[in-house]
Amino acid sequence: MTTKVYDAIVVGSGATGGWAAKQLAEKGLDVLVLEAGPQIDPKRDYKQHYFPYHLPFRGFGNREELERKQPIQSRCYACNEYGNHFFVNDLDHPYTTPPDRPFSYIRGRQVGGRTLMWGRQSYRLSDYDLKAASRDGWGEDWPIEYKDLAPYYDIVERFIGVSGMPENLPQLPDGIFLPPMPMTCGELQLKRGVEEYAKKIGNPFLRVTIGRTAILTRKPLDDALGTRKPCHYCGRCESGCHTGSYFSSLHATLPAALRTGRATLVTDAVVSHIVLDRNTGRAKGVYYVDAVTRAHREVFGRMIFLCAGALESTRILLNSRSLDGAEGICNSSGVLGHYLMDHMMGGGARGTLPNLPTKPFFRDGRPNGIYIPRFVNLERRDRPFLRGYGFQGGSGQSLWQHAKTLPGFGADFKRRVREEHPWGISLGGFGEVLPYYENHVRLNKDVVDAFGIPVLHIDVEYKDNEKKMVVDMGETAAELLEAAGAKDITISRGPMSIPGHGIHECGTARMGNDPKKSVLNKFNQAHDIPNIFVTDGACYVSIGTQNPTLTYMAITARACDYAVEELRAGRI
Amino acid sequence: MRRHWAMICAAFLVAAINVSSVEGQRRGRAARIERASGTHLRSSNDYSPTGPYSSVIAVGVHRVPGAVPASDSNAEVRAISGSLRGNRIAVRDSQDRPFFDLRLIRARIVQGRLELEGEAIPVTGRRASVRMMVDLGGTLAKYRPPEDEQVIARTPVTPVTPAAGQNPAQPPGQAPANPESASGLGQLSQATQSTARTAQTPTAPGGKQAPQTPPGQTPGGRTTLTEAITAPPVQTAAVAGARLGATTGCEIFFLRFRLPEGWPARTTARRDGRRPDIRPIYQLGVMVPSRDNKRGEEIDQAMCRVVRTLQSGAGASERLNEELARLNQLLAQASSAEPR
Repeated sequence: MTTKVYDAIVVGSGATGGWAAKQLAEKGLDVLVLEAGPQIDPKRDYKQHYFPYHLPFRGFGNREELERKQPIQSRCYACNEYGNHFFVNDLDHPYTTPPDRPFSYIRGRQVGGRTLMWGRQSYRLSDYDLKAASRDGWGEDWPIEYKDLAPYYDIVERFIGVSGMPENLPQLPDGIFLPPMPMTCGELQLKRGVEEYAKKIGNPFLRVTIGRTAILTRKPLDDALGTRKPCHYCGRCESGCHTGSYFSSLHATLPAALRTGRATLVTDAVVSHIVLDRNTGRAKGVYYVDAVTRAHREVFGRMIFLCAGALESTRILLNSRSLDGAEGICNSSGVLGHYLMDHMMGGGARGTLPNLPTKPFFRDGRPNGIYIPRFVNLERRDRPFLRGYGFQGGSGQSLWQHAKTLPGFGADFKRRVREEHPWGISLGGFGEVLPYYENHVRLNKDVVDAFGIPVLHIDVEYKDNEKKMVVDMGETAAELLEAAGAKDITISRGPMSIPGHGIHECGTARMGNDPKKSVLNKFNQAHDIPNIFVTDGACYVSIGTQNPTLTYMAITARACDYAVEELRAGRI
Repeated sequence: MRRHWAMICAAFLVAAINVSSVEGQRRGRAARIERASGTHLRSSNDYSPTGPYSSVIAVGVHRVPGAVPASDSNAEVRAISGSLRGNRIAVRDSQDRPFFDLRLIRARIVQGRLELEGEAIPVTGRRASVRMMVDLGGTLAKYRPPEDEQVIARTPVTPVTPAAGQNPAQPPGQAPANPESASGLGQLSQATQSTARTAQTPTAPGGKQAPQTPPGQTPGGRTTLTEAITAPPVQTAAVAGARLGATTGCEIFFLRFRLPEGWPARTTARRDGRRPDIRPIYQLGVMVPSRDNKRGEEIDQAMCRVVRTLQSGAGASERLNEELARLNQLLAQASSAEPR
């Protein structure tokens, strides 16, 4: 019996898996995509236009069930009655931690992965991030520069569609944007106040801009699919989008791959490990467990793209065996599983804008907020810690919460609750967590998932640099709100978010030029086994302050171009 | 003649196993075909479907299970779940049906691992309860210990502005009672605009008439999502537990055991033609409800202290004995308090 050998096997169908499938299939390769979760049916699974009264628990979900089956996932704002079916069952997909060192590992297993409920904020990294180690001496530089990534950012942005405003800031390079969403008057007031404040303190990096978000405000520039519609502002993106207005691999990259006729998508295929060829020492395929029948299967490919999510891809490498029987592959450097990072949150401020009119103006749902890119520790060290943070937030009118603090009673009170909607404003920091060798994952063979595969033991702790940063985040956010004329400011100086809560986990199989210090080369190719590529967040060397998914996708597109060239040249 | 009959019986047995295996696979395929075909449906809003158009049921070469490499044991492990209330774990099978109750009685350390002795009490049928041993495979922390949070919150800083409109979940300059609230500030800001969450006080104090919005004023937004997310965050019982300072550091733990002799194993799907293991290993993921479960939380905390001490390594044997004694005391108290 002949066994089919695919040109490439892509593990995962989320942001990076979708891009790998699209790029490789469009370049003529025969691609197999393995997704651990089931197929998604928008008619059945999307609840974007449901009102709370359509749902038995009015949108909050069955709390007892959530606590019993999704005690970790339900900590994510999107894991509610509208969307908790997009998140895993924590006891079927467990992991372990040391006592007192929690980690919130938020996951979605379905076609499209977490792109169905992601935050959609899309920012480019700059050389301030990619070469941060050269500036402050901590850790390693990325093996690539901004100019290496820029053309791929362009490709990705043209296809997924990112709305935003060019700002000409060196620390936040502009992209190819669709028209920006409008700011609210509270946000415009913040922008004016902060930019005056920036002039006063002489910081040219300080700017308020509308969030750059992967949501169509008109047709995308590369509209080869022709199926996605501009956003209709219903405002509940993470419940699924029938019009495909926000980018998800389910509605964009996977259809593009599948329509080539060269991509095959297999659902419910839980990849356990990579299988090596005894003769060549290279990867010859992957081994998976069928989540429905529990059958064990093996598929073969000329190269493997791991796009399963940072920690899952690392788990697959750790769970594979090298030819000499040692546990873990691509780990001659000893850094596989190490340098796990996430964005640290917990510092910020909120207040009110009493000078704005309180007449309600109910216009449904801009799915976006504002962004203040990192402006500290850039050209000079002006803070008592390394690296920095950006702020995300927004301003709008309270719908009904003001009733709790409004004085009075009776008909007049009710009238005021209906008619007077105060303006609030908030800023929350996203801080760069330094890469620490001690923050790591390893296999815990004493605990397995529902498919019998050993789980990860995740050991992460934020340290002094982050502790100092979170306090500064709160103080600075309050200063900015004060500069905008906000009153009643409440400062949050921590505690720091639990690691993983940013849902930007990355690192553990980092890139680098030195095979002794890194797992992957500058094209995301494993130093040890050249036909294995890891293109998801695992490849991160340092996290920066920007939301990472856009970079994951750009880096995947770049790795695919390289892999195809290598394959055609016969080097893979 | 006898040999001939034995061969016929053996042939029937093999055929029966094969048929049931094929049947199991057929059921699985049918379920998946049904799911895959769902993608051809149009959405409720009559937008054109934009998802992937097809997916394949399964590809590749069939392999005999048990070859998952890094697992040292070739024994089949079945993951099930349960919840600890008092000293009793309500165990559910992999299809989420009540399986049995496991009443924890005693704890001890065996070869550097925490082992628990329990009594398995069937929830249905007439089977008698039996003693069984379970051992702890790992733990999962959801929260930092409260003392760590306080250290962060005590960092000496001066508020920029006196806060008049305080968020009850997070007094200024102090740690929020709920660790979610501060971090949620960042996470929520990624969602739809973070609007109403921010406002706590009226802007027209003293009962003055609110000024009218000028025509053409840029509005703020409101969505049903904003309403949902600006309400207090979904307060799972575990979060409520954290509010009360009931963090344990090991809020979820994983036990391993074999079923008592004679108890039927429960499985979701036939495993590819293999003869089912008579006594497979079960892995029980246990969460600890935080509502009305003080005793359960105390037991979990005591277990967590034992685990911490075990992991702290050599030189801790005296402390380990103390912690173990405390855990056993709690288990004994819970057993004696439980109605028979």
